[in-house]
Amino acid sequence: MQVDKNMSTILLYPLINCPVNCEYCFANPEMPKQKYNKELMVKTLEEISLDRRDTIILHGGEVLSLPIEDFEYFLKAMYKLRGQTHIQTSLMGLKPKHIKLFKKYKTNIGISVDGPPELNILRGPRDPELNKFYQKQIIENIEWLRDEDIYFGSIAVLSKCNAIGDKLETLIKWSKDNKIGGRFNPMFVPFWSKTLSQYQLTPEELKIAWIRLAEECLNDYTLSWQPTREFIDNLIGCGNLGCCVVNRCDYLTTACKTIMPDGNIARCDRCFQDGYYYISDRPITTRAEILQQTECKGCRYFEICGGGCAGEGVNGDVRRKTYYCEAYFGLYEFLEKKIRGMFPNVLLTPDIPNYYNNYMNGQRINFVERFQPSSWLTNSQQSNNFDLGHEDHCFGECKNER
Amino acid sequence: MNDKINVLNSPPVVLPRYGYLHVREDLRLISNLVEQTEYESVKRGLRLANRYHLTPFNFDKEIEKVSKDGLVFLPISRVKNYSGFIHEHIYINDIDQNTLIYGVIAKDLDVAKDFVDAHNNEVDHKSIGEMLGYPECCRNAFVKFWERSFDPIQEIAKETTGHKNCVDGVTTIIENADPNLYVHLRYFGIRIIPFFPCSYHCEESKNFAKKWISLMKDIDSKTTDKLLKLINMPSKWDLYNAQIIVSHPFFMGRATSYYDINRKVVVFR
Repeated sequence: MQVDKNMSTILLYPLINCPVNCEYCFANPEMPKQKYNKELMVKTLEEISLDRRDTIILHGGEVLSLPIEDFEYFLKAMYKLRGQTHIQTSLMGLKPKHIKLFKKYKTNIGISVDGPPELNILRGPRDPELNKFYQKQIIENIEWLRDEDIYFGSIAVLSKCNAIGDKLETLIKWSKDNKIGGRFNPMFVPFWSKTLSQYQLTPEELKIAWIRLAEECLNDYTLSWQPTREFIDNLIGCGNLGCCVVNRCDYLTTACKTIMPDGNIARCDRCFQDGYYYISDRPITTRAEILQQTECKGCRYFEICGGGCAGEGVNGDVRRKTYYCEAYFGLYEFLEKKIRGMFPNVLLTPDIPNYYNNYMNGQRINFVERFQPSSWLTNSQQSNNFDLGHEDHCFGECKNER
Repeated sequence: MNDKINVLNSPPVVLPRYGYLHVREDLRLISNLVEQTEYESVKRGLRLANRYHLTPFNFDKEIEKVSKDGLVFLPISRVKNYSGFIHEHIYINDIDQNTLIYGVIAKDLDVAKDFVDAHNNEVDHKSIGEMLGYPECCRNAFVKFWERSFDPIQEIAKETTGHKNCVDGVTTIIENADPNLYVHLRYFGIRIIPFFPCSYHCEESKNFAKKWISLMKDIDSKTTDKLLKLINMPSKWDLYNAQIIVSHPFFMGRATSYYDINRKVVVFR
């Protein structure tokens, strides 16, 4: 079984019922329910991950709800392939048996949590009493993991409930106090939802939040917050582009692959919003190639953005660039200025024509040769023109279209 | 039609709905049937000529088959190899393993020569359409459509009596038309008539479709039933950013297309 070169993550997706019932869950309610076939799922996993190093994550519904023997079956298969395991969970239903397995299979745990209980209100059961219990359980279980010395990170979903004004400052303080590192993703609103957009950040609000989070990161090198660190790596040309959404993710193949309960491969679960799951039988990068000539034409950061997440396409259209373009652009611009402030003569990826095609196919940037002494004047310093926001990109022109 | 970008000719892609993986195999069978029907129609004298491609790795067998069937082949041009569906040929000078020979098959050498001549200088679409056996009304409509679009799905819809234009200014709805005339699923192999009809109600095209279905059934009755089932289901055709997305109850298909600054959608109910 062949998969495309930009595959980044494999989701093992048993699609079990989830007791958490978050307000913004994007699982398609019309998705057919089917009992998972764990043997077929693992067989596919072994076939597609052979000789590769993509991260494998047990995901899909609340995985701690799996029967413990099946939970171990999946962990064991992942461990055999990678020497460690990853799961994504709300920690609801965490039991001592899970803790034992986490230790045995070196599990990295991604916790789904959006901040302290007063900000985490879109997650968990919708019944107020059950939600109180859920919030309490998360905090206790985080402490339990810490006491057991088990590694975890988080995926926080940024929304109007936790990422604007004082709420954002509370989220930052809570994340720092609890030493929680991880990902700060914008809330994903599937196009079939009629109500969720009320909680969705505007592109400008997301830009403000991401830049604020980046400021904290730049002042504290111990913070591993995404997308800040990944975007810095993308700018300096260090490693593969991260995360998946900027790596030429096409809606027909998607960088993330999902192994469905029947053992077949599907696209990223964000693309399930359209009701079609299986993946293209051949690798495709059409979306990015056309965006480069249309909506993203001339954008300074296209080579390290590719139009962003197809699932976030403007007006729910997977062929369009991400609705959050302004935030992607704003964070890249902020970080580029900071890097150039430190190293005025550094060569960064936006300076390299056709960077993606040349450098994602095996070539590497020579880090030594691209530095000139910082004390030398740059052209832009000599002409007092250091405003990246007004150089050859189309962001300003595109702004009115969204 | 605004061709300001380099439109990609990447092959059409089909994503079956969950539980419908068999659709991929069905579409492969249907594509073969459609191609075979076009060939048989000339062999059996239902029309004068048809387009034909000699492929780089099989041309000896193809020439043998054409000759044994009492047909002639004349080349028209060398084009870049492609698989599946393409809106336009990419013409090339060199001949190599990536070259298709685009040409014509006919029973009569003079017809084949006329067909080739009709491709010289300014392409004579009306004469070509006549030799291919297409109805006159559709030949005339094609010339008009071709000035505006390489893929006139919405243009045909707007010529169809009873169509509805939605207030979004983007969507056209077609109801109670004849699905046998649908050509918006052809990227994935699903089609009966091998031409653009002048409308989705065209009587001449309906008669053509009847003859074609009969020929298809004669070749492979089971696959014809599959084709008829798929083409008769509701679907949506949606063009934007040079990509067509077709939503069908059994699959989602994507094909690259021409660029138009406006989005175009046709809903077939």
